[in-house]
Amino acid sequence: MKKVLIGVLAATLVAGMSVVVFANGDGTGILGSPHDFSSSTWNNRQEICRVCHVPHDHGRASQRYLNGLLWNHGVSSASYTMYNKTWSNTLNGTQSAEPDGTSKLCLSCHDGTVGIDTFDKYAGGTVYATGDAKIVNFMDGENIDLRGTHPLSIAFPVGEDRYSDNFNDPASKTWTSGDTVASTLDNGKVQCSTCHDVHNQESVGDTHLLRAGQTAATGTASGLCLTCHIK
Amino acid sequence: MNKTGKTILLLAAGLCLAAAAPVWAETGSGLGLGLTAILSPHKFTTGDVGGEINSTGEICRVCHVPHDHARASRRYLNGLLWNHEVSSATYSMYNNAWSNTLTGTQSAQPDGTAKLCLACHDGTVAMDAFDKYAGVHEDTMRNMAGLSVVGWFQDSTNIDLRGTHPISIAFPAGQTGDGKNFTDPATATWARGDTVTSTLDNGKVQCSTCHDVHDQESVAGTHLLRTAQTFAEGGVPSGLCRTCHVK
Repeated sequence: MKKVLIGVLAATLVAGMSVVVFANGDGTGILGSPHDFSSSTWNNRQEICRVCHVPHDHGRASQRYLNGLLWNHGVSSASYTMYNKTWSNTLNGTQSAEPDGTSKLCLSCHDGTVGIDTFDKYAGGTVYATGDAKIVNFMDGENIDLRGTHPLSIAFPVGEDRYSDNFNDPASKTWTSGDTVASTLDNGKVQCSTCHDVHNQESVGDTHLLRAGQTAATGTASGLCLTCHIK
Repeated sequence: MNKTGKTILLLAAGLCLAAAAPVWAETGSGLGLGLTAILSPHKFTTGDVGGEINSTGEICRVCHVPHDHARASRRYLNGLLWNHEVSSATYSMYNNAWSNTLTGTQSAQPDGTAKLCLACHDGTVAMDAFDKYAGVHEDTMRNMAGLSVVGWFQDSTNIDLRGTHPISIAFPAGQTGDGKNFTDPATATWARGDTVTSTLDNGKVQCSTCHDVHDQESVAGTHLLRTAQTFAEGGVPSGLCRTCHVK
């Protein structure tokens, strides 16, 4: 027990020393990962889970928990321009009109409209995701533009069925960790978390929390894409 | 830290709390010194709340009684010689569908020991509705500002538990034993060394899995938590969560 405690403390110290939060994962868990904000100045209690989840909502008027997974962070009120399916001949899986499920949760920081420190009882944060941490940089009037982002909140397999020439069978196809693609779908939909491992439990080292490497240095060439797409 | 060191630390923390409290009141924080310790949250004999709701001068009786004396309410059927009114509310439970990994069976309504906690903590039942007292009283937690009510949200006639960690749910839940999502409850331990399994109620996660109602093992300065959540509480970040959840 003592050894475990010392190990945890040591890991925490290492995490605490890294003032800059790295955008890259290494598959060793949330501690010291890109989503470990325990040493961020805006995180008073220095807890890890609490920035996103809370065990009791305490009846806040925002009812953030209705986003699921005991969500404890402000979510974006943006309307998004979704990926345009007509661009593809093979894509006919049902796509939600707006991001839903776990993607909605990711976008509560990563669309850049809600402060990262908008969690717990705090309604208006002041620290925003910038640079690589912010997707959908394109602003189209009032819309946050997801047309330049891989479709999300979309049913998979899409298009021709899973035995087709275009997509692998998600039930048997696996990421680097050995987890099936199906286990990383969210109610059958492709979401951010299908490719990105938010808790850094299975991420390939030196990638943006990817479930498979994309280069010879981290895996195989376009290994992530080719896990699902047959090309 | 050895046991003596721990005791000294806890006593020191207790003294700090005592010094900070202007009145002899129950606090929302545990001490880990047992139910009889002054200021323990559930000791209703000396504090402000105790003075309001409990004229018996006893501690255990607010919740338990050795003889039910055949009261028509048959509260004892709730188990553990229960002596307090229980809520008749119908709750909205945590929504399993939100999670891909949560496949443990969740009861349709809170059961087991969670039902007992909610006898006060859902805010609908008067805290002094114990012993032979059955009537409607004013002293619900909801009326006594500052006390810990869970499920505060009222969704029409439902008491809403959707914003609360699943309770009355089988653990391990979901991908078990593979070490990916959940630790093994038989070997994972809380701060005082008790296994997680020993804090399950017929294999289910209940309020008492995280919260130590009798304040015997609570981390000082926490809401009767079995493991600290912060450095300030003497633990590691999110230590309680990560006792069960592998992340």
